[in-house]
Amino acid sequence: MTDLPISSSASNTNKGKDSHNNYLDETLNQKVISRRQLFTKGAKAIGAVALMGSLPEILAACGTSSSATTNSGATGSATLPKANLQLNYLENVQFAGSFFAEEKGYYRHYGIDVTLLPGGPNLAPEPIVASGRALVGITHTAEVIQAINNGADLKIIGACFQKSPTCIASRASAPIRNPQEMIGKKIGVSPTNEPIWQSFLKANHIKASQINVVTVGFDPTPLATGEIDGLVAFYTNEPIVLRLKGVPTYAFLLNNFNYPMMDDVYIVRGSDLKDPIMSKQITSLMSGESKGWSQAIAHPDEAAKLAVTKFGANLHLNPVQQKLDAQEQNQFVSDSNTAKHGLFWMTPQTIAGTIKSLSYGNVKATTSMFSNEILSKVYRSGIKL
Amino acid sequence: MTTLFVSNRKNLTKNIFNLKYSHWIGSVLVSGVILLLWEVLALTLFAKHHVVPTPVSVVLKIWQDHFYSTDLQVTLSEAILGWVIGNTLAVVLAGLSLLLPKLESLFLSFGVMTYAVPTVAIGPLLFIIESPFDAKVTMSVLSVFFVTLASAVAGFRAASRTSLELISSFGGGKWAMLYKVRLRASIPSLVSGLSVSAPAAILGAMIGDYFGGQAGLGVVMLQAQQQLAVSRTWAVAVVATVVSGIFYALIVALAKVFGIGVAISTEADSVDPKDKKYPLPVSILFLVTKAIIGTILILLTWNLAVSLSGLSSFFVKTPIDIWNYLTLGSSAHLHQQVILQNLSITLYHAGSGWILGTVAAITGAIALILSPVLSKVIMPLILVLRSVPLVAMTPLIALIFGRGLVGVTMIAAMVTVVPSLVTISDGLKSSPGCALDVVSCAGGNHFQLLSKIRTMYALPALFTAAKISMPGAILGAVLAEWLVTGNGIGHAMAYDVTGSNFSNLWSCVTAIVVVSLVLYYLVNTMEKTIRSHLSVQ
Repeated sequence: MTDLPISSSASNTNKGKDSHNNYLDETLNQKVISRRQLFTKGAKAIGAVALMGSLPEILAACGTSSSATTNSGATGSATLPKANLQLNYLENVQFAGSFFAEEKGYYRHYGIDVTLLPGGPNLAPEPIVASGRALVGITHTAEVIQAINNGADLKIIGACFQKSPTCIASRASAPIRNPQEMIGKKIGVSPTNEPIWQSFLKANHIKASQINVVTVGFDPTPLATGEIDGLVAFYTNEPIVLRLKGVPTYAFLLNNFNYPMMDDVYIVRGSDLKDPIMSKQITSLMSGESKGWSQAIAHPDEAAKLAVTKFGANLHLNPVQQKLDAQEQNQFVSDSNTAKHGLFWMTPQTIAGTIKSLSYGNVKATTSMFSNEILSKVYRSGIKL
Repeated sequence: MTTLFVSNRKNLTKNIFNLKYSHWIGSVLVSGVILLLWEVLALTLFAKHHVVPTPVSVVLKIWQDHFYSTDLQVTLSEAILGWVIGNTLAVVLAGLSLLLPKLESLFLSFGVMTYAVPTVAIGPLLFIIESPFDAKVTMSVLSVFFVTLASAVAGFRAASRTSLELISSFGGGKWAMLYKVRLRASIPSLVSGLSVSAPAAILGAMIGDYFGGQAGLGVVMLQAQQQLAVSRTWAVAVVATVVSGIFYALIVALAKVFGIGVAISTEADSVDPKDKKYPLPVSILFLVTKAIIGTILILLTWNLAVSLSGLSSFFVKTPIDIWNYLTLGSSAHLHQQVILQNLSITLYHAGSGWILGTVAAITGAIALILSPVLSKVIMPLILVLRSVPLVAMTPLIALIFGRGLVGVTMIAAMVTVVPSLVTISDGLKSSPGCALDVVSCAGGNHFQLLSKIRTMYALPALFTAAKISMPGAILGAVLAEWLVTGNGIGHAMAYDVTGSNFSNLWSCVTAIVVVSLVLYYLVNTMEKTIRSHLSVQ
């Protein structure tokens, strides 16, 4: 803990006694909660079994119940409350800040024991957070807004990427430089990117019929093979992958063409924000996250190393690609806004821009879906910007 | 050694060894030719496509990546647990349905439902209510349960009636019949279910990785695909296939040890005589009544489960929610229309895939029965094909066959062809020995045996195959729509998951499950009719 380069502010030490008492209360509450959770977990399992209309899950639950109990029972780290952070993809350098926070003990320093839950191309983080399985989730903006409109009690509490890295990638030999140049071309869109794609077309007054849209999976092979001319991609991922494979690409950001959009937003349950205990846990988690990202931005090479050798060790990640990715993504995480207000901060302008962009796809967002309340607590308690 | 003697006791030992040896050489030769063809194609036709690596580079990659030992361990522990749980449940339920025959159709309905529920839709739910590991085990359970249940039920029924009557005349009850006769008679069919479900268990665990994970074959494959690490994508596919093959072979070998001295029934099936007592209208009435009661039961269980689970109504919907979504409000009509439209696209895809797969399976099965040597050489390769993770093949299939009807048809056909081939060729072989002997003694050759006897007795097998391959083709079509074509109900569900449109998602799931169930019972009725018709003759 001594190597923590954090300027813990005086306000923290002033509140020494108070926070000690809070701490006791919290641990007591935690015990109660964890017991209650056990019960609800059991009830959920039974419900789930009946829901599936078959019995396999009963046995599945029985067969692995030992692991479940060790998870909830392992209070070896005694006093710290536990929480899950649901990522929206496999553990690659895209989540560098979380890796730093975990590896260097920032989460723990701010009073929370965080487990990172890797995601996948077909996992939606919204129900995971809405169900309470994860305290905080990272997800795409359009998806969480749709979830809220479909009845999920969720709030956006920060944006990791101030502008979306979503881009249209094309072969450098046949570059697509702006939205108008997509007309008449074959563009690959994966189901995950479909909502963003639709609204981007409207924002630029292009009809879907003017473009030959091809549904693709999650890999950029069709662009390399020439099966498609363009691909809705992540600036920090597919173009780099293709470049390393000897397929040079050109890419333009959707963000620069009538489609300003925050991305990789942090989401929590609305009810948790109103609950003082949960809200405190979220603040702890986001404090660790902020500290982690400030380190990741400063040390992209170390970030890549953490992804390749530790967190994504079993994914057989390409170290060169991860390093390039880490360097490229910094421009999305930190800009003049974050220098002024702190990482993840959502200014009224970026929120308004995002809402307008979303409206093109009939995704109706309102300012009340976004809240800087947690971040203001994070930065009030004295994290360096 | 002893197994060889027992199974082929009519042959001389020398012949057995020669035969065994030559089949081995045949299999190796065919594999060699395929590998060579692959290498040549990869270096020429596919060289610029970034999709097909050479076999040499694939093997090299497996070596460099240390055989994916950590990922393999994770996937295997999920798959084996899923296999054990799914199969135990299947066998227990099959046994229960023998003791309580009234429950059989209920269990089978649940089986079909577990099989028909698309992973795209059920995955997110499993990851909410369970830990990621448990969720993957459950996906593995779901992919093995019905296959084994169906073959166990068929196996228990395969007991020869004379043996059962013998037990009964000595005062033995249902338990004695189950224990002394049915259990033993069921072994061949059961083993086919248990062995086919081994690769399925691994595939189930791997598809689970598409919802996230730190290690696992699917996780590596996913990352490799995204990073365009082509040789690694294939390397993982090869490792998964080899391991599935070993898993499969192990069960077959184990079964052989237990199978010694078991008399395999020559009777096609012991049909419940009660079935024939009623005239057609009455039995249809029975079927309809059963269906209505079953539906009400399922709806009640569903409703109860939702209210008991305490899960948020945001992502868990009751039948009433779905009813409201589809009938109330101004946009209800639109909802209905879109779902029906998507459903018809999916059924079109599944239907063309099923027809292609079934025709291929019938052709293959006939070729195999006409040439026993070919059968011994090709069969292991076909079973290997069954263990190829389909997900790894989709980019290749899309490249070769396009992202339209042909591509999706190929994927649905691939899901259909192997299980159908196995079932149909088993059916062709299951003709009663005495019937075959009559034709052979009269000087009939292979072709006459086939046309006069085997085809007739294989007809029920065609329906048995259809009971599994029809929902299978739908599943394949949904998978292809999700990953390749971007239309139909498969695409709609993937879209609903990302947009958290759970009302539509659950409506789609309901539609798919209902269609699969209806198809299953239609084929089941046809199968029963034909079987009873055959046993009359």
